Amino acid sequence: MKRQYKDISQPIEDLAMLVYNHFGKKPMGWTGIDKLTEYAHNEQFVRQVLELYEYLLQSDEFLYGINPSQYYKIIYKFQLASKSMDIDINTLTSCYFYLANYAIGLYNHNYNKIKESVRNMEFYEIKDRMLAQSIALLSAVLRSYSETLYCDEHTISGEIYSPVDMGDDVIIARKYRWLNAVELREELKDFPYKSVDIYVKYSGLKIPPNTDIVGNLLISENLMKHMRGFYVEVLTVDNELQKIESVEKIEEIITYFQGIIPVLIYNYRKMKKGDRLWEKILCEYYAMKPYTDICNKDWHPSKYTIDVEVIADKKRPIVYANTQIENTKDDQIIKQKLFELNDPRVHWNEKWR
Amino acid sequence: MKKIFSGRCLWDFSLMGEVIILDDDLSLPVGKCVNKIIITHSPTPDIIFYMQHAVAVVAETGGVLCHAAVLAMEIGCPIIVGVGDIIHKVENGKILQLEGKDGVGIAYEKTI
Repeated sequence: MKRQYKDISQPIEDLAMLVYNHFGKKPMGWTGIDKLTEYAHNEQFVRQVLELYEYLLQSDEFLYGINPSQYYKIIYKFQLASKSMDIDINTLTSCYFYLANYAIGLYNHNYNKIKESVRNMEFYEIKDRMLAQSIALLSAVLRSYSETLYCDEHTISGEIYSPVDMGDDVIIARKYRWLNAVELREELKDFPYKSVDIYVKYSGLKIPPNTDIVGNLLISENLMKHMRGFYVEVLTVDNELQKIESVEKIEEIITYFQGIIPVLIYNYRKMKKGDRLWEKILCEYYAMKPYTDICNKDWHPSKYTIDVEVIADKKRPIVYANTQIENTKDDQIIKQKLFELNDPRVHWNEKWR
Repeated sequence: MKKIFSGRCLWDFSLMGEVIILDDDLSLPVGKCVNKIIITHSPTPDIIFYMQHAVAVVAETGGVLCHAAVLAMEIGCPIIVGVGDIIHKVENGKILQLEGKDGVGIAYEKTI
């Protein structure tokens, strides 16, 4: 399969910092775990990412199970986690660049497939505000749910493809999967849905919304006022594909999520800090599950004593090759290289030119 | 009008409403937030169920791509984020005028 990307050659932590600095993202952590330290001890995760990299190098097909935006998060965390490990700089940098480019290629590939498929979709017209509100709320609860389930890591489950140009209209595709992660939370043992895809048609938007490299929709106006049509598909745990056509059915799904989200959050709040950290480690492994499933590997990490004090030590030494990566920073060059990427999600910000 | 605080917003808006302060544990009944301006610190993702009934949301933390902003964006609820430490400056029942313009959201004290 032809790769649809150009090469880039910068450490991915710099890319990640660009996301924070130049896409205007500021953290709002609700999980109670420090973002910069939460992964840094997890050697099992680093080994998994290196294995994933080796697997992708040898495979001719895209690994669809991991969302494109999730690759960026995996490599960002990989960089953090590898700080305390002795891995040579060539291995680290090759892995970063390859996975970053792979993510771009996969996004473009999926985007083009969606662009083809929406042409044959029969969209249901949104005639009244109540229906628009229901569709909007469905999108919101899915985002809320995936963030809750995956401890702030919604890209494990969700990916947004936008803008899909349809002449006078624009489609935004919101695709949520891995929703029944019962291995993560036992509260989901009766959870009915595997995935939900929401396609919404908008008219009259001044600027068609793009997404950034970690899957956030970038808008400048209230989208809800521009909704004109929808197409929603649900895959149940029994592998039954249901087309959702009525407000009543949409409300039924929303009501289900209204019940389960507060339960998951309530139980999360009751966890001790060490258990929360363990939950996040499990999420990382769930992010890897599409890969480990393909290779028939046991994806569960082995639980070892989590010393929160050690993890919280920001002065923990950075070893060997990683110090070189830490010191490689030239904002302007990286911005330019990002703009040269064949990635529509980077190009929303013309100021970078 | 006296400016109380400012932060970042997603789109232009102009609205008025009564403040309700929501703690991060979301311990208030949803019904108390209907048609109110919710002011919160760093809410959990289930704030969506409060947000859907509110006229606007103000968060002390976060940026325009934080989870609260994304949820507000999905349901078309005006939001101002990253306003800093303001919960001690306002109280439940206070009437605020919120103005969003060119990505900047400002709250003014409204005297009736």
